[in-house]
Amino acid sequence: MSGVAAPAAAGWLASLEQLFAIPPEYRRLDAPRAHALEMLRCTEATLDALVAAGLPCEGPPGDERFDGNDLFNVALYSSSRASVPERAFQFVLRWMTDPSDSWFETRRWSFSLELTPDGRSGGASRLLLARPRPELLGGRLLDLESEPAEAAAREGDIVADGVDRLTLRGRIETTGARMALRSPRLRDIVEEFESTPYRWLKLPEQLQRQPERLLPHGVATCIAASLHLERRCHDAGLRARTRRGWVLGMLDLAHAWLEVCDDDGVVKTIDPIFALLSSLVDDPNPDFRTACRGSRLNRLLATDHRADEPLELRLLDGRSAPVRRKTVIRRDRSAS
Amino acid sequence: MSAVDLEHAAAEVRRLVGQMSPLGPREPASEDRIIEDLGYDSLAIVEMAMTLETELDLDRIPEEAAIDVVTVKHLEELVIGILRRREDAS
Repeated sequence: MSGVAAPAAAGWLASLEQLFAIPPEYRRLDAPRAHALEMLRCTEATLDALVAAGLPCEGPPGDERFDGNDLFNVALYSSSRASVPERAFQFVLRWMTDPSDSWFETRRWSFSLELTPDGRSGGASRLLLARPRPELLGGRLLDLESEPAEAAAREGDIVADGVDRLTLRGRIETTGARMALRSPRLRDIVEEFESTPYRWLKLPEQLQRQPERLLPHGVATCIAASLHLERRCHDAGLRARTRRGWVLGMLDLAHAWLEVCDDDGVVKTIDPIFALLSSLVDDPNPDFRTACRGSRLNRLLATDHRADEPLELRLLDGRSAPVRRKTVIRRDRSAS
Repeated sequence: MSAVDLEHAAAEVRRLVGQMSPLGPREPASEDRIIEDLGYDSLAIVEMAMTLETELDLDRIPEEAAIDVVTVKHLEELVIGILRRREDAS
């Protein structure tokens, strides 16, 4: 590491120092150095400094391979304001800075989702996608079609057998509702979680399903947090369940949250990770954190799946196989 | 803001969109579709929107407006709208 590079690398090294590195059993060292430089938008010298300071990698100097999640996480907290993760989050979460009424108004969206094999195709293949259920959060499904057509015709998940492509297109209406938590027990559970300085990280889903491995390290993801809070609510005698879905916006962000039956009999949405993510945006609306404690936001598209279930799946000869998802989400401004 | 200024802004949008195309630098037409014809994905659109803000010294592009962009023309209109609002406010 050169003396010239040191000051520029300071934010990066501080981020690395706090990094919860992907554990070896989940680590995939398949991101080449060129990809790392593209994502981090840092100098070669800074990347060398990160490698020297312990950023997990393999391969000879100058030709290292990294874990994509480690790169994403070290960039997100680098304070460089230039890396792809920082810039992407700054943009796609801007709606958290908007006036609060915008989170609750009724909106229409169109979407298309396409699943294709990532890698080897052929064999006895099944593609599966969780069915969008906007009605679970007060919205409605306006239309839905799939290719192959029969995939969406059945109840439950969208399933296609023996094909290399599953496409789902539809229009939905979402809406929000301001709500507050009534139950003192529930409020205590949420406040206890919020008072812990957790840090959100991008992690493999299997790891996210083990909150006991993450929370003690100050790491919380939507899946881990909702599973943890579900357990705490059950222990306190509250009816609660986790739910998976998507965040409607520029990027197709998979998400998970908790739904709890409050003392007034109304099911409330608890989303502490949204609250946490809002701290990554410049000037978030201070009401946003409050909205994450009980209110329903028009940005969520629900499914029937629980936090520890995948939203999409590809089975090849009965075994889980890599799948690629392509999503386009737009506001639908056509007449009803 | 004169028609010449606005046409210059639209030309700058086309230049930057073409320069940043994931398919490689090119000269896009206004009718070109950002995703289908120029190879952008969602992340690339985000990156392009933030580059436009910096290069054209724009007030921030609303995320919701970026969601609606389908063609280069839509993006030109979005940028011109932001410039016009800024001028009206000054």
